[in-house]
Amino acid sequence: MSVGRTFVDFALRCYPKWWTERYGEEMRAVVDDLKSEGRSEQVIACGLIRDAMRSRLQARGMPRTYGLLANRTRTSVAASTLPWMAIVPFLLAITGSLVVRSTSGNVAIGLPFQLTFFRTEIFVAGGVHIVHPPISGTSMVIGISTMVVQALFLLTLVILGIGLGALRYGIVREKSRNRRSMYLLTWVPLSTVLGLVGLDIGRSIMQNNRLGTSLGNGRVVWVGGHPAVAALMGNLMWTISIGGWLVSMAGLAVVANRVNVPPETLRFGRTVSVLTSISLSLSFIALVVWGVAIDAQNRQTHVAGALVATYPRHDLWLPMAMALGLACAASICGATNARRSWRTIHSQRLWDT
Amino acid sequence: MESKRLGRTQDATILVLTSLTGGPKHGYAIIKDIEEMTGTVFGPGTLYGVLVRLEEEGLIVALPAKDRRRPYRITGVGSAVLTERLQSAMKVATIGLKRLGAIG
Repeated sequence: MSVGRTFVDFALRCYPKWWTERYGEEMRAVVDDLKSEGRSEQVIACGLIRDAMRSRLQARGMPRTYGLLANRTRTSVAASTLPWMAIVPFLLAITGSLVVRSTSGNVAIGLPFQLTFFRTEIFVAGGVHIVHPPISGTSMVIGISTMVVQALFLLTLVILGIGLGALRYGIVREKSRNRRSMYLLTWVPLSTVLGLVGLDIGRSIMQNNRLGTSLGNGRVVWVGGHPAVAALMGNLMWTISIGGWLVSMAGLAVVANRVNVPPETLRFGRTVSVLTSISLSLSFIALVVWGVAIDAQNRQTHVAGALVATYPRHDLWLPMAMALGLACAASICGATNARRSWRTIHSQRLWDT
Repeated sequence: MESKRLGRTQDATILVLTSLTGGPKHGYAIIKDIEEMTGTVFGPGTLYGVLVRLEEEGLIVALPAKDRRRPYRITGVGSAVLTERLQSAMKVATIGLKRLGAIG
């Protein structure tokens, strides 16, 4: 009984606030009546959760006021950008870890396997290097899809960075009560990136291989530096990157839920959410192409000396594709809702009311 | 069992509107009325999903609440929409039954 009661209460709390204010009391009366006639509380609660999710997604019956629609736009923007922030680090970890081999010699990885300015080259013994090594069509597809993922990541990062700047400007302009704490939260992503860059520079200075000297017999002795400090900085980088990533996502969710921003910031947020969902969808397509191409490459017989790319984390392709597919769906849903909410605000000029 | 299965395929909107043609009813009364009419078991989540939509479309209106229970009444527009949909359904049903040889 108590479990069922809690479950029904939880289900009723899943409804949006405006819905509970309008229908909450009468809904409770219906639930009480149904319970008194012996209807299963768990079944009732499941139906309520389903309807609560529908109410949140479709906002049917929501009063068309600027406050409610602006809140819906903000949370929809967060719902479309948070999946990108949550999933893309894993995507980069899986597609970015690679080994390129050739029977001709050592390989220096570049284009078309990584987004750099340099081509992949093979260094043959005796100082000779091959600038245009042979590469199969499937290996080329693998490389290009990896680069697409990396390019989309960088592009979306820039878009989100600009969006964050617009959000900060909107928070400052709106002058709401909680703007100071909300403003501080928006600094977390940039502080994390700056911290990581600083630590990386510090680590490279502290590493003793910066002070290496070559002896006459061909051996190299590394002297100076502080390897322990460099290792500590390396660990600190991991801590800051994971902590900053988590706090950035939580911060964005809090800001989206609590802060008031002007209409033009909402419009910009809508654009950012649409672009993010497009980027995530294209990343999903690139991942599928990448996974299929690796399978095809692994079944081929290779020409002697040709480049062959192997990815140690390729086994995670399918779970990654499923997770990315879900993230895509959430992001598209968020962007669609952001567009609809903004359209209602804009068509009825609700900010004047 | 058969009536229940048939009931589940019926349009929830028509069921709720038909229930309200008998006079204003609150949520629980609508659920019981539909159960008696068709054997369809409605959950409160499904019912309020329909009620909110119908209210937004102006097909029903909420009346003042009495002891936590708020009755709903069908509007003129709601009656017109229901009549149109029932006539359309009746036309399809008549043709179908004729072709099946169930009616002359």
